[in-house]
Amino acid sequence: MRALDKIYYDIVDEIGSVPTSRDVKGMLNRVVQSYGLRTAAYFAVNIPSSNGDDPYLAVTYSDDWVEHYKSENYVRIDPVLREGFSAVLPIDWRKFDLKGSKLRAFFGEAAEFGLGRQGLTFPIRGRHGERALFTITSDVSDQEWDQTLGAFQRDFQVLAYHIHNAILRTEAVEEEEVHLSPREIECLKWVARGKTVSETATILSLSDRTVRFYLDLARAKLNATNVTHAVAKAMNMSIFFGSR
Amino acid sequence: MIEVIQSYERHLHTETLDALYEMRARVFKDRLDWDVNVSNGREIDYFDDCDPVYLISRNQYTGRVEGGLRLLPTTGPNMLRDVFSVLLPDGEIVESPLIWESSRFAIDPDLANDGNRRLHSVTTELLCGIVEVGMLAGIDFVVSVYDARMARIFKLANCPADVIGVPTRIGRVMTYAGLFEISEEMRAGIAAAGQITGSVLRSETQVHAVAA
Repeated sequence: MRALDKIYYDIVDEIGSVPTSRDVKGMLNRVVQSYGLRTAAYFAVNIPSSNGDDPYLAVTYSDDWVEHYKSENYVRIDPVLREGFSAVLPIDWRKFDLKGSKLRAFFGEAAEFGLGRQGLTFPIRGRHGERALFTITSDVSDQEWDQTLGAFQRDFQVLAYHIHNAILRTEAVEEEEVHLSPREIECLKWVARGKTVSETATILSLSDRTVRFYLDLARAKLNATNVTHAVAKAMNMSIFFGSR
Repeated sequence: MIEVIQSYERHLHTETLDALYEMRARVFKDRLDWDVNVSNGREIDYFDDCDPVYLISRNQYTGRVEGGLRLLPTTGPNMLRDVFSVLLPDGEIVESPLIWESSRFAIDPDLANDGNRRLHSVTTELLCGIVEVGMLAGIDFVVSVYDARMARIFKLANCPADVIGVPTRIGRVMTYAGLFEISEEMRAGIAAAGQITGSVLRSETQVHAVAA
């Protein structure tokens, strides 16, 4: 496994076992350290939460920025908020036109408070209609950031989703039960037995593409990074027990 | 040329979206007589209020909207989950941050008057658009609910669709749930069928895009 895959593997494992809200910040810090980022932040509205913490904010940068943001009422001009909650595509902060003095000042101050010059925000949609944003910042160059995006965008989409689900669990919203469909179990089972995607496809009379699709779904449900991880988790949950 | 419109910028594209809803009424109600709600000549449903990404095909020369569709993440509300779950028995749910759903794929019926060339051109452009946008976002698959008519269109566009779940007759329409891979191979295949060279997306969408 590539070193980076192992990092991803470990992080998602850790996300899956986050038991309390306090650990969420620790988990975000792990993401920052592992990927060489400057900051990471999660912000959600309308989470069906047990302690009425609406909206929900978990960040790795200092509370000073949070306080400053509130006192300046930046919620009014922050373009990430304006776009993020109704966007589907990830938002690269370089798209924002900083010619206006207000926005330039806003991002300038953010940098002073510790946010990186590069930013990427991932919109999250949840099963219960909730919306959240996962934002990472970094201080690398444009060129390096472009390379980072290519390599990690997919990772971060998945991480954002897992973080969201972990937070729902800490807010006692989601139950732990995992239900894989019969087809998802079938695909996972044959891969667990050492078959390749192609061999599994032949055995189940499906296309390679469809097998990969069901493995994608199984991975999402099991909060797993890759198939090996998914198989390990499925075994721990005795998902294969009793299936022929 | 494909325009990509998200909800936060709707107000900049009201005429375009209105043309899309009006075209959808002509396609889904007038032409296909589906069970859809048309009000004031526009077909708009609950999922249009769920902040989808719209892909719009606009004729470069006439400026007319000639086709469109919408994309929604399967982690939130979507038609396969909320309207067509009958297609996926065994309690199967398609829910993943790397899988989106495409719905309300519509092409202006008047295009057929010029023979199928224009129809084919807009179709392949839209399908290419889905794959390009999907690659920009780093997702793996797109799923869609469609009928036999669309199945034929996918084939002609060299757009392989794998049926998932169980094809089911809904009303008068034989209905399928299918999955489409998001990959460069997929894009290249559709582009070849549509004689498309380069990106179909308007340049703004490509800024800082990195195809994985």
